[in-house]
Amino acid sequence: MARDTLADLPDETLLVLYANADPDAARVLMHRLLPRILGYAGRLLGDRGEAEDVAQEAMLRLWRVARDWRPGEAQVATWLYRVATNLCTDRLRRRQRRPAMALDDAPDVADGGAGAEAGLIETDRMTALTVALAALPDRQRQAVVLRHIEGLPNPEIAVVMDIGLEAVESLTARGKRALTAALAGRKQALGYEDDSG
Amino acid sequence: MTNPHATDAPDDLDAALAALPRLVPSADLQARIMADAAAGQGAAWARPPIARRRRGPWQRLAGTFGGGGALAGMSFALMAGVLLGVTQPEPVAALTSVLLAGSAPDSVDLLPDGDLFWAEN
Repeated sequence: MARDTLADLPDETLLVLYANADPDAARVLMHRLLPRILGYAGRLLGDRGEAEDVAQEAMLRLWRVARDWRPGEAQVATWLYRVATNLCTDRLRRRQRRPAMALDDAPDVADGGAGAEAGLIETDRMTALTVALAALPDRQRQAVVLRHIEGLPNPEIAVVMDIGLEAVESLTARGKRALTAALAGRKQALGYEDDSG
Repeated sequence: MTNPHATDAPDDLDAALAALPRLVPSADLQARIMADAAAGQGAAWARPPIARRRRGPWQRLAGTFGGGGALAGMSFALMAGVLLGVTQPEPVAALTSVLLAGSAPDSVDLLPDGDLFWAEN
């Protein structure tokens, strides 16, 4: 089937085409899903190498399940996020205690000239937020990343994390409160407005 | 990345989270994943299921009698009957001699007077 045509098809249809040996379906699926899964795993693990391993393993499991995929039971992307979540959770458990980075441990941005101040503030702000996010408890971080970075709706997050809707809302709310608290002392320097949580 | 599903009022923190830089898949990772996908299309787990083998004559016969167990039971009973008939164990022989004493024919003509029948017609 032509690549242009494939690009318009839903994930589930592409998976069926892959299972029926369509050579281009896998490529279209990969281009569509891999950036999301890699970004998610990277945000949870904080390590590119590990995130790539998780993304590759999750995609491999998708290829393996293709022939037995039951249409309508789950969304492909949701299923993939769930697999990635479990793989990341396994790795985080293996690490035992993840060395939590304190906000003060964030790499300092080199002092530049006045013209670079806006860019430096933005870089500093991203670094501070990344560090604060990494310091969240694993489940809160998963919920916040799925909700506010991956843009999943709460019902899908509930499926991915295998929890109820109320638990999703609680985790995201607590996560955001923790982020706000972690960044509170540096709000003015980082360019946040007050009462943003 | 914007968040099209968000229902909360957007705020600075939401916007900052959505704007965090993401990992971009390397060419090497994409190549590995495509290699997995290609291998999968030739692997056993991606092939269609093997067609069911045709049933042999013994399986069809067993099916006729209600399965292999039933056929085995009937076979055992048949063999036991033949064995009893051939060996004639003493208790069986004594029983048949009592039951058939004086009335057992020495021989049975299964086609009586065949020649006469043809001769009359």
